Amino acid sequence: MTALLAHAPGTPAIDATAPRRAVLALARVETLRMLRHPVTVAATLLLAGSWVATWFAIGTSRYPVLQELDRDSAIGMMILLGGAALIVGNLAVLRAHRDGTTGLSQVLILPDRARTLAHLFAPLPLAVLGAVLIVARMAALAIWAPAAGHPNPYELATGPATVLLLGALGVLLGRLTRSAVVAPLALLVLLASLVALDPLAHGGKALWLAPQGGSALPMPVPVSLIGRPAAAHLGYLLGLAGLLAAAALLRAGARGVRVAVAGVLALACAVAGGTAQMSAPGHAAVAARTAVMYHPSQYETCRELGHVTYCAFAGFSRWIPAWDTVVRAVVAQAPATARSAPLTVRQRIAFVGLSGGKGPEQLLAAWRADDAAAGTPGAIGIDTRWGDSRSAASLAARVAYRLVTGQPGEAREERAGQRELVGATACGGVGVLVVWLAAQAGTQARTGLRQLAEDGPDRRGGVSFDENELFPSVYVPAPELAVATQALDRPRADTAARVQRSWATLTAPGTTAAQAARILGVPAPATSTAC
Amino acid sequence: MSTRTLYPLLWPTARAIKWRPLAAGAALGMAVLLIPQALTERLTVTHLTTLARIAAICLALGAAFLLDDPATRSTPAVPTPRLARNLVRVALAGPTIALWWALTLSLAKTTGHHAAAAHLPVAALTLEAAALLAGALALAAIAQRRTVDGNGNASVVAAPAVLVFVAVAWLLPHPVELILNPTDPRWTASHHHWAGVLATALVAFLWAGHERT
Repeated sequence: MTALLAHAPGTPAIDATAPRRAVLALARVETLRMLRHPVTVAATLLLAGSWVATWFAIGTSRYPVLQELDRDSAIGMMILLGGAALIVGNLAVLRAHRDGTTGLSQVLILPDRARTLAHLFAPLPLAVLGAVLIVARMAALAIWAPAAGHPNPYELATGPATVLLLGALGVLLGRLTRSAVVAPLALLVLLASLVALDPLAHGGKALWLAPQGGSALPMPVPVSLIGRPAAAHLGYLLGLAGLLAAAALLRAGARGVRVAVAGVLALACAVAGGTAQMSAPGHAAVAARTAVMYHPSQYETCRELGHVTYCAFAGFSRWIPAWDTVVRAVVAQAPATARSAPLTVRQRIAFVGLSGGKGPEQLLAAWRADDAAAGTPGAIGIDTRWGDSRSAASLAARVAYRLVTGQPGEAREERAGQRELVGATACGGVGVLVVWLAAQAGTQARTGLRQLAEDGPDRRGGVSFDENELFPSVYVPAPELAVATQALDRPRADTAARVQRSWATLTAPGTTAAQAARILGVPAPATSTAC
Repeated sequence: MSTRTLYPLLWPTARAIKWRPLAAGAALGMAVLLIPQALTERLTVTHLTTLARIAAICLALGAAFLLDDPATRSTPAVPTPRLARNLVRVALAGPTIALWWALTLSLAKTTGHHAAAAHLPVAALTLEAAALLAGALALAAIAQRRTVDGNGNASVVAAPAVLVFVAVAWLLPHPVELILNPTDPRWTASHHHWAGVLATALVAFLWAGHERT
């Protein structure tokens, strides 16, 4: 009798590996169903499509900063692939209830807890797919685009980690409630948190407790200054995912030592990651940012192309040829006498709130001293964004101002003691020439010029060319802008010849916009600027 | 079909509708918009507009459950057409939803102590919410039409479809973009697109209400 029982095929008591094999088989089926689910397919296509569309729609994406894009890609992945894992995983858990087969499943060899475990395994391949997608994006940008910097692998891994986290959440919600509306609503809560948490936490460290992590810096910075606790945050997310998975198993009736150990490990991981991420950025990061802000020349490598020296932060030197195209086009329009002075284009960053209450004047003075110490006085500043029309127009105009006046445009306080900054005003012939020269730097600069003139932030009516969001450099008033715009509508060769002929007159400080209009053969402006 | 046949449908339909998902969506939508506003004064009009949109999506998700009917398998044979039954459901829930939306937006406008709340573009957001709601109902009706021998859970298809619909709307590129900041110069043009979405969704809802032959 005993021998007969022992040879009965497929009895669980005999084949100890059967439940494990059954869980894996079920996980395989659920994985395939998840990957083939229309929501997953749509989410994957939308994610890839949005990345491709960004390339075509946003100018700055042609010159990507990889240490900034890694976080962007991870958040996109969290919403789309993570959302798909949440909803599809939840629907899979609720399938038995929906089809009225809950009672039937009680007689199956696999208990509820084993089926839950299989559901928890299902998002793993989707997370792998996410990892492949995110690595492919970074590789494509690094190889085929003049990308700056390099991505943080931990930051990239948070994308797939959020897929696991939300997948586990979907399974847990399916075990807690049988309503199919809860999981989609949970995704909407996450979306709302992306919008509302930033103003609520006011950039505080509490933001790191949310899956998306702390807010990014307002502008791209070199890799060494980022100071984001990405590794700790990844540990925190994986710990949370483990906790949710353990909770789902507990809810499904699992009461083993292994579940308890897994839960405790996940809790430890989440707590350790959670506390470690709250302690950043440390004093070291703040000190490094301050040093780079006040003494940019010490952290840059310079390259000379023609008469122009370009100094870029580590990782940004792939942009130098693009800057050079713009600078060269402007310089080519100036007569040989004006070109002889050496030019320097220097990358700079300004952190709000790191000046220690000293105000922008101190930073500008520090930059002047830094330029003098580096042997490049009067350097033209450029920030860490490139590729859009406005950046091109702004660089072109500031190079033009430097050529015409021999001085770099520099911000100053509009009224003494006030924090409002204005750029150096380019009056009369100088202003006209600056705008006309800037427009010679290519179609992109011309587009940028038009955009700046149409909806530029300047309330005085003219156009302001800024070094970055904090510091305006050169301001051209409305009458000068009008003359230059009309000159640009005339045949280019004729205007270029007039500019070459009358360079000295146009650049003389006393030349008014009306006189410049006469020289260039366009109607004089209706108003004039008091300079 | 006459009103005499529709009238007796009202009460049983009201009892048959799954109100819970709609109530959950409505409650969460209100919370999503009002709680951040109560907690901070740093929200800009862009933040508030996005939160109001998320509130509208919450409601649209709830509305995707409105046409769920466990008796779907038996109803193709009843004399009252499905479109009429669907319209009764919408007519029952519609006023409640409209009241909820009006209450949510007026609370958002009045309780916000900052200038951003006063500048909330109410009419435009109402158009967006109506389009989302109509889209959700159309998707539910299409799902219901597609499941011939199903168990009446049109929402299983419709609720995720609403989210995919929203994701597509969110990511649409220029010049057909739908989701814009109120300060964007193309704001008005994008609301012409929203009106188009609303009209298409209504037509789809009416078309999908006919029983498959």
